[in-house]
Order: sequence, then structure tokens, then C-alpha cells
Amino acid sequence: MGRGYRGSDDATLVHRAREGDASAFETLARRHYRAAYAVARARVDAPMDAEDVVQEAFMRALERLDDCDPESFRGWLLTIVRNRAHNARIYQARRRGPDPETMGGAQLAADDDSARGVEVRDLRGALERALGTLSDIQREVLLLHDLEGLKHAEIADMAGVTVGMSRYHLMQARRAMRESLGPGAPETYGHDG
Amino acid sequence: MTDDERRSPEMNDGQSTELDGSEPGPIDLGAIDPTRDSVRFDRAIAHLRERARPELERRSRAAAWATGSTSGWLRTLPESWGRVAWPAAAAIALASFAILQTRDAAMGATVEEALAHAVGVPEVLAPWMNVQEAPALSQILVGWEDDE
Repeated sequence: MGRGYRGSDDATLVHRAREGDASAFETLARRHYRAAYAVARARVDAPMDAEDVVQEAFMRALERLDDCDPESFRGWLLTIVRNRAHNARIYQARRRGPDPETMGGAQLAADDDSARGVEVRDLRGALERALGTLSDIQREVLLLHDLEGLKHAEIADMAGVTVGMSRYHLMQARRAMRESLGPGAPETYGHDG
Repeated sequence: MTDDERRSPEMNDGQSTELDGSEPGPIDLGAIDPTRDSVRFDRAIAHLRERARPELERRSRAAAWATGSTSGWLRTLPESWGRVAWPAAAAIALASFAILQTRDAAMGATVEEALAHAVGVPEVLAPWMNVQEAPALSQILVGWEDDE
């Protein structure tokens, strides 16, 4: 499901989803899931919580789809994600749950125990720890740029910063990540999958 | 404004931060990509699809009702009313046209008469008012006699 609309633009998909087309909604979700995750993960500590935020945000977006400008769906969606993540973090602070690293590990424990699985798990754990050393804005810029592949102009527009600041945050984030990951990190991570 | 922005107020749009060769390159974040594990990603999408189903069905029903009620009305009209409705509409249109024509003619006469009365001119002389042409004395006298 959702495969038939792969080439359609967001505006078309939004119009169809408004009329209850499940495939259109699924295509939108698949297309923007990673960007939504990037924004959520920048604000909440645990990957599992970030995924919960993404799910909640998509549900909220569907409920309020009539309020959306179909031409700028992604920016609108990411604003919802940002707000949901903000609320989730407030909730987390009150709850004071387990340590983020432990949470990340709990998710990873569900992965397979093959050599490849262990390797990916280790990589993920190291990346999650390194991400934890960044500020929110550094994490958001880094994830949107290096994970989702957005341009600085797009990131600046979504994050509410200038293009120059987006570049600056990315540079700072990468430096901090490399410090956390160690000197072998670029090669190791650069050839992973 | 974040701490980083406060520390670097000189950064503006379009200014590159790639100042020297030490600029760190991209970091491969594939290991934390939530879409990387297709099985897990499909499960997340399936979960979302399941949660979204009631709302999508509600929207689908609303859309079907909106389009269905209009098209249904349009569809049934020619079927059941077609034979009667179209001739009736044509007859009504013809009748309306005829009434309007008659009324226009009646209105013309009525206006002339009303105007003649208002200025105290015999009705038979009213047509001269329309053409704004003074009648001959004999015509006025004949008109007066006829009016009386």
C-alpha cells in the first residue's frame, strides 16, 4: 500500500489523504518519516521516544490535515513534530525515566545477535551517545543534513535560523561528534551499509 | 537565540563556515536511520496505518457523502423527472416570455396615459409628447373634442 503514489507530489497526496485515501497518507508518512524522526530525535533523549513522537505527530497531522497548506506539508508537519517533541521532553523531565543510553540499549537489545547485528548495534550506541553531547539545534541541523539530506536553506527555513547559522551548527556538530566517536570514526561509519 | 548564536553574531546568511581544510566532512548516520531496517520501518508504518484507519474512514465517508449526494441527485433527476420536467420547463419559459411581452406593451400604453393625465393633456395627444413635435391647432381641437 502507498506504492502507487510514489511519484506524486505532496500537494496531491494531501488532497487525497483529506478524502480518506489511506495509500496517499501512507506515502506521505513514508516520505517524511525520517525528517520527522530527525526533528523529534533532536529533542527527546531516547530513540524509542522519538519514534513515539513521530507516530503521534502523524496522527495529529492527519486529524488537522484541513488546516495544512498542501504546498508546504513538510514544514507544517515538522512544526507539529517539534511541538510534540517539546511536550514529550517536558513529560520525560517529570517522569525522570531511565538514562538515555540505557533506553537506546533497550531498543537495540531487540535487534538480532548476529555479528552484523552486534556491529550495527555498537555503531548505533556510539552514535546515540555522541548525539547526546550536542545541543538541540546542533542535533537537529546535523540529523536533517547528514541523515535526511536536506539543504541548508531548507533547514534554516524549518529550524528558524539563518543559512549561515545552519552551516555553523553543522560544523560544530560534526566536530563534536568526531570528538566523541574518536579518530577512526569517519572510516568506520563512512563504510557502514 | 541559542548559545551558539550568541557566541557567533557575525554569522550571516550565505556566509560559508568552510573556512579551511579542517572542515569536518559528513557523518554517516545510517546506523540510526529509522528507515534503514525495512522490516522495522514497515512495522512502524503498519502501526501508523492501523491507528490512522478510523480517521481515514471517517474522511472517506464524509467525502463519499459530499460527492454522492450531489451526483445522486443529479443522476435521479433526468431518470424520474426527465419526461415531465423538460417540457414543463419549456412551457414555463414560453409562457414567461409571452407574459413579459404583453406586459411591456401594456406598460408602454400605461405610461403614456399616466403622463398625459399628469400634465393635463388629452390622452389622444399623448403620442405627440413622445415624438416631441408640436401638433397643429386643428389636431388639438379635434383631440379635445374626442377626449370630452
